[in-house]
Amino acid sequence: MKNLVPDLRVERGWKQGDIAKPLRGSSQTVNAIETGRYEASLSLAFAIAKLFKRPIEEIFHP
Amino acid sequence: MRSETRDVLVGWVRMFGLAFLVYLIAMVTAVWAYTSVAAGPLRTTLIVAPILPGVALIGLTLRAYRLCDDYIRLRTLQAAAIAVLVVAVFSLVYSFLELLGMPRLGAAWFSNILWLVFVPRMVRLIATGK
Repeated sequence: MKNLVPDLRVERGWKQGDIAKPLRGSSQTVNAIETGRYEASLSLAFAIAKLFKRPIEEIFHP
Repeated sequence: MRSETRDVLVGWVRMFGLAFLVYLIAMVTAVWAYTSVAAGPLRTTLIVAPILPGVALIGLTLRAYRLCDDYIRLRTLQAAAIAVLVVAVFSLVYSFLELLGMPRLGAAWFSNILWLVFVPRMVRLIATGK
């Protein structure tokens, strides 16, 4: 699954650790999602969508 | 890596390191007691002493597992699975080598091998946090 997490994050000038904290996760997790090594769980995907204030389907797509 | 999961993992490394040190000291003492101390309550206590820090190692790891996010849990399970597979292969091979005259190993060896495979993978995972 592809995602726009790195683009949206860089757009806002955030580091991986900056978004890991509100997501209550680790920067390893953010890095793994961004590089496609790990597919975010549904709850995490919703949390990411809420963080970036975008619909979930806009951020994650097959 | 600045988050609750990071704090959990760093805390795990510290507590695990301390418990592992206590475990190693207790294990060496147990081996010494087994060979050098006369039978009695002191010998029994020294020989079973490593069980407590050994259980602490497992408890600390389970606690960290419960508190971390899904990705770290996945990586923890992968590290545990690889460690178990290494122990399985080692025990399979060595069980036959024993028949060929290699010295008999205590079960503690298998536990130590498991930790020696598991811990570096976890430390590497923690170290990759930015």
